[in-house]
Amino acid sequence: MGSGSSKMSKDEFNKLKDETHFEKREIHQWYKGFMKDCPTGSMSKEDFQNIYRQFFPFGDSSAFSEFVFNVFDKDNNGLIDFKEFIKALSITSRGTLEDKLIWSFELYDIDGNGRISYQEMLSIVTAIYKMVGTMVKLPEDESTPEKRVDKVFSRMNKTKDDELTLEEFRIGSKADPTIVSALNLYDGLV
Amino acid sequence: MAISKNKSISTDNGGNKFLLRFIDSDTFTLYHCIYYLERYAKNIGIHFHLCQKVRSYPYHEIEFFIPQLVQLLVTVNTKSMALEDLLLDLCMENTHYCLMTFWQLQANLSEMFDDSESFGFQVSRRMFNKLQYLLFNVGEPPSMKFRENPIPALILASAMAGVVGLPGIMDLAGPIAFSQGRKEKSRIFHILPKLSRSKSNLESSSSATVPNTISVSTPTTPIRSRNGSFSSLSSSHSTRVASNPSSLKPVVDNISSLSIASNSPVEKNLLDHNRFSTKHETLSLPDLRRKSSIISNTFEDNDESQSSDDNDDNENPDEISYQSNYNNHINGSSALVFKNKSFQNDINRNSKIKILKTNYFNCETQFVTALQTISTRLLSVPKKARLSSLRVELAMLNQDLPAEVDIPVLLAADNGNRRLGQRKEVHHKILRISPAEATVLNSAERVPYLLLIEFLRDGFDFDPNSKANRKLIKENKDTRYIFDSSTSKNSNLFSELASKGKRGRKSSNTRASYSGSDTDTDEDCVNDSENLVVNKIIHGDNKAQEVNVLYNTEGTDMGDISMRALYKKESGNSEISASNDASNLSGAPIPTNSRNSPGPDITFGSASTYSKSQFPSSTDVSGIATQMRTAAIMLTQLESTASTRLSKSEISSIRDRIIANMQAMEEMTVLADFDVVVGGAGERKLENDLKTGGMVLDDPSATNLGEDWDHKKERIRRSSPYGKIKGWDLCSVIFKTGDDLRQESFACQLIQAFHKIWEDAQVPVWVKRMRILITSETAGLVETITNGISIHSIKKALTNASIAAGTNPKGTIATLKDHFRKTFGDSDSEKYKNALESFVRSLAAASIICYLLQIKDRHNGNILLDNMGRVIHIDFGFLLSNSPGNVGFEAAPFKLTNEYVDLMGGIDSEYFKLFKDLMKQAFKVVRKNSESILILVEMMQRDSALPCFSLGPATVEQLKQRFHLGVSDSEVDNFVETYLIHGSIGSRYTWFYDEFQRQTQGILP
Repeated sequence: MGSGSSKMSKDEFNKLKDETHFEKREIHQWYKGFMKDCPTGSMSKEDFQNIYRQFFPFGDSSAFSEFVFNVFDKDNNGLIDFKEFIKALSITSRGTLEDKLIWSFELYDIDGNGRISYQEMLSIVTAIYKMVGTMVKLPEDESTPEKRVDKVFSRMNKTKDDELTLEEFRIGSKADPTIVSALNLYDGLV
Repeated sequence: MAISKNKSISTDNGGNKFLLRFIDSDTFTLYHCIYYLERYAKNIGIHFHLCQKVRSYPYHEIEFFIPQLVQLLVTVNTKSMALEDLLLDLCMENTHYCLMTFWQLQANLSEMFDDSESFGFQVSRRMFNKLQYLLFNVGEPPSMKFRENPIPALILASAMAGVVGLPGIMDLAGPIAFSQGRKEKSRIFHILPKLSRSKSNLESSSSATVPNTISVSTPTTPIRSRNGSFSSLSSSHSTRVASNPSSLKPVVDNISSLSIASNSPVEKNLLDHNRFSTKHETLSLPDLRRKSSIISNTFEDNDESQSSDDNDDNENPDEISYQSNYNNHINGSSALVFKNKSFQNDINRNSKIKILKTNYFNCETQFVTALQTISTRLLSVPKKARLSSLRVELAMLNQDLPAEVDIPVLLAADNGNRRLGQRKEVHHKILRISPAEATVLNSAERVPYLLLIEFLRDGFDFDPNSKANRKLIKENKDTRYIFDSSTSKNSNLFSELASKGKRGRKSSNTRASYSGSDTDTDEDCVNDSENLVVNKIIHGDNKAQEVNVLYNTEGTDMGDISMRALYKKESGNSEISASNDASNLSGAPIPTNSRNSPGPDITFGSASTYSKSQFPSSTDVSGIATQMRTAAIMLTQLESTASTRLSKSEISSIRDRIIANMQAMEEMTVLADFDVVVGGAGERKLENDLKTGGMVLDDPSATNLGEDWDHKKERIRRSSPYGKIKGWDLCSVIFKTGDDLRQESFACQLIQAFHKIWEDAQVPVWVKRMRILITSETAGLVETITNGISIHSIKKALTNASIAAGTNPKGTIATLKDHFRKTFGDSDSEKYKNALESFVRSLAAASIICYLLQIKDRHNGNILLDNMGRVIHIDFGFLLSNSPGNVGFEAAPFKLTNEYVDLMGGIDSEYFKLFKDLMKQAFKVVRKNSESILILVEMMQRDSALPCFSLGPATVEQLKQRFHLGVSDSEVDNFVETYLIHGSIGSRYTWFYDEFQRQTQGILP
């Protein structure tokens, strides 16, 4: 992968077809759209963060956009290229609930050690809270990032000192109807 | 969205917190919101939030800003889709929004023809096609599909990662990502150069053929359809959508008859499109026209090098789901839900509502189109015959009334303060237009006319369970041709006639004939037939018998059936009825009509049969209408070919006869129904007097104010077949064509804004709110002022009366005081005092408005007094930065004549003191709210070609200066008294302008 060549070969398209939930034609169309918006064939972190500022102007999105950028940027080269993009899109729009949870686990597992610490979860939740600001009404027991993380951890049967494994993360999330419905909210529309 | 390296867009994160706090505060008005939509158009998130905010205001407040919203949509280049979505939602929610947005877009669209690649044109095209579906159920439902837009896709995908951290993140990210994700990739298509070929064509029919998608929309373009009939093509049947080969041919037929050369790009486009279409081949044109929801294949992204079977766009969720919120979209699209019975019922309910709405939209747009067509027709009729023609045309319209028709804004049921989504829409229902009460307002190039419309309060709604609506749904009548006075059902008459006259084919041509001058296509064909007829009249061997020649000629092109029905010689020689089938039509005894001129009498045989029926049946009236139109064509041709062999006197004698007979025909339709005909044809009046809703000054000695509105209403109610229905009411409107009404409409909007400011602050001044509904670039409906009449006319009537009575030998012009005394009694009486107080309250408001907006051309023809003594200003051709001749004649701050001061009792009187106090109060309050007015002007000013913005950006600057915002409140009193009031009293400029108007226009000072 890389930003070097922007043209994708036929083989690469075929490969993507196998690796995603998209039809060949859809991949071509998304590719066209991607190249139109990112003529260099990839998107830098700076671009990505600017987009976030555009979409979430009433809060501070810088921390969250940085974290989430890394989830897309699988090869850690500081750029999101088309393949990284389409694979992420495939999972989030057409993947199973399981797929989505596995994919998003990476966001919270900041150091990539396979487990989510309380501190890691707090960093992400704090970043989200800073981004949404007052735009999302929160229940009293989630009014601060700490309260929210406590709630998540207690749901997943963990204490502050514990770490969440992928297994616990998956099972705990699937048991939470608000998480499940939010993840399935836009199923089938992309 | 091309990713820009531009970091200037709100790099300081959280810097918008203050903005958000302001937006969510109580002080944030809809004015601010609309204004910010422009200012923050570049910021997708803010723009989206502002659009959400708009939805929280009450219905009527949003409606007020429709012109601004549409203007923002088409002029402010943005990547945000939020405004487009907002407008579409509003249109789905509210039928009046939908119509008004449609008309407003239509009015703007023609301006953009020159630049089809512009943002404005592209967005209009998109919006137009979506509205087509909402209005007429043609085309396809707006797509809910998330298109290939990577940026919103990234937002959506990345937000999903945050769900476990905070599920609510989707509530924030989802809607905006979807709004942006639905965006179509901009595709540039070249618009047909021929369509934009000349402005003049657009004037009579602002039309838009929107390529790219197949929906070809030409809402008010008169075209000839295949059967040769003139159909003022309202969008419903305009969109003979071709999405499949089998229906393509008719479309092309239609389009080529739309005066577009057959090798025009549109057709090519259609053909191109067609190649991509493989599905739904079984759909035929009639199917497409049906009201059932059409999910036809589209050609989105046909620039793709893809095979046609790849096209899966018809996977779009059902339109019903689109009408609900986001959650429902999602549900609606999942197959599971369709198994659910209650949801199924919802669909039924929704599709029933859609049938009802489509019915309403069809009726409404056809109605407006018909009014427009009438105006165009009248234009080709000589002035003398216009009133008669108008009345017959209206009698024709009445054939299709009552129907689910109202007039948004002007004749709108009170849907209250409710917010969007909380309302069940109710509309008034038009029952009938009194033909006898209609009046033509003659002006040089245009024919505006005044209508008195009978309606039923809250006459219909869209509740699919009501009895009336169940019936409508069950019948599911085809209303696409309602009010189309020249085609469809009237053709029945012709086929009847034709079968009698054995001239079916020719007769159908007749129908097309009247539309004549509108379009190129019409002309070619119609001219032939017209010329034939007229040539025969003019070049006939025996000039004295020219009409006779006409009868005996076997017309080939022109359907002469109607001509035969039309004319029948009484003189005995060459009795055509003997040799002609037309005699069947005129078998009834021919009435002798006093209006007929001597000589070879022309009488309308067929018309005679109607005079006996109390209530003309449908065929009767349409028969007469056809004859009227035919007669009108003859008149026009007569005048345009007047050079030839006939002498002037001969021509005029022919013309007089035709006109006399047209009037006779009118009487037959109208008088059959009414005993009263008010006012004669050809009586020229000052146009503005007629704007007053029918105050007739026929008998000035009786009362100055003519017939009282309530009295008139009662009289019409008694004569109306619907008068006994509970909820019956009457309103009067003027239909105008030819003028660009947008400046007038803008002035009315500003005045309404002033009204609201004073009302909210409870300042006891009075302002007449005038309302205008724009239906195309050059047409619209204008509210009339009932119970008001121009000061000029009041004075004229009074003066004439006093001269006639011998009490005014010198012919001194009557004063306002004379009028007040005569109308309201002794100056000490309660009635007089009340009237004077009303005068003062209205004068104070009018004075502030005229000063601030610099409303000029304030002669007494443009200033009315109503029956309460209140001043009403009309005619806003000059305001802000333009003035008559741009000379600055009227240099005083506003018009405050010595006469006004005298009426109030002099400068030391209590009424004058009241006037001053009110002026001060009103001005102070307006200053506090100057932002609203400035916002409206500033927004309208941008890119505007309206004459009132001739100074460009300086317009709003000068307006701002007139508010004197730098002056403290304590100094304002002094400013108002010294500069405004004393600077205006008895101004020589005002006097001079009145004098100028008196000498040049005969308008009394």
